[in-house]
Amino acid sequence: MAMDVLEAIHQRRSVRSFLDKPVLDELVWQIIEAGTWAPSAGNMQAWEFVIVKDREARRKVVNTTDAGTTTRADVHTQEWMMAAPVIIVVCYDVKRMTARYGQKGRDLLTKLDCMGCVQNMMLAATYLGLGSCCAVGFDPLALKEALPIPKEITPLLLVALGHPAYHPQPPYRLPPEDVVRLVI
Amino acid sequence: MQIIDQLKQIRCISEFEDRDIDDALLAKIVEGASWTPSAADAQPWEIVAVRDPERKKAIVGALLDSHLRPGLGGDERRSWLVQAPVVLVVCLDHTRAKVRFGEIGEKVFGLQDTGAAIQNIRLVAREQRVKSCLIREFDRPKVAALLELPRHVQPLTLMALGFSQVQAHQKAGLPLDDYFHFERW
Repeated sequence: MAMDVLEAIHQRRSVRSFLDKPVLDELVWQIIEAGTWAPSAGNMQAWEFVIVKDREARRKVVNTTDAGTTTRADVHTQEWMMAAPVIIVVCYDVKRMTARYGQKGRDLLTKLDCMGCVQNMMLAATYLGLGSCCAVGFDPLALKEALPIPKEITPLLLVALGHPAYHPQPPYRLPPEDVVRLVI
Repeated sequence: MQIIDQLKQIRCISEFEDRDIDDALLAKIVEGASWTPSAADAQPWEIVAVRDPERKKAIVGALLDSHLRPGLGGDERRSWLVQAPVVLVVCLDHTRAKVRFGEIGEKVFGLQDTGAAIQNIRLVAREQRVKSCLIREFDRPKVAALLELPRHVQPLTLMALGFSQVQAHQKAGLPLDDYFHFERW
């Protein structure tokens, strides 16, 4: 099932519904490797990962999530994530980035770089026929208390992975003509 | 006063006293918009307040008649808008309106929601004793150019605001039976 980059970019969807089927470790590591090939300021590669597979551990992750505006019927967590056989917690090492870039590194660059890493991961997952979804609505400090995450790294993003139960229709995208504001 | 009675007070008034609406009062009135629900909470309205007499005259120059033709009937129609201390140009940010839903966002939801915001502004204004009048018959590109709006923001409705002793003529709407259906058409 060969797919080129542009196809993967267009096929990637936020998938929140998965089959009851595990994801091979080999695929998870391939996905993480794709993540590490993202660019990063000064090539600092401040990303660090926690792979969560165990059901109890996944429950703990989901308990730190917040459904925000999608809260319905008093369910405040992102419950859909329990269906994902793998949750990758994308963390960052603050010191590695701050050492080189100071406050800007801490506040901005780590976040920009980690998002690039996550996008690579989701494209790789799409290429491999898996579904993925990135979530930011969670409490990183609560997560550090719930799981034995090394103290020097801070969780930033969650990436749920699994075999997709269905392929959502693409939502609307503003056409390029609308968002290119200046060509000089 | 019950809400229904306040609603009955919202009529187009086109004769204003020579009395300003200061910034604080104006902000209070326009803030009525911010409590309007909107699809995807996009709040796609953008509002420009015009007080400058020259700019108001230029807006008058962009007015169309009641059949949407350029050229107006009589100086009367021209001058009252300039008399109004403030003319709000209520616009729609098309990008903000459609980003989540596509075309239906800008062609349906955004219009519905901005219309609701307009009504809310008029209600808050009325409570502050400020009367209003809507005008939809105007050359939109002309007004957009006048206000230097970016391409994705288009004027939707003009709202004249001001103080007035004129009591609007009350007109009953269609009887309920005409527009209210049960179960199906």
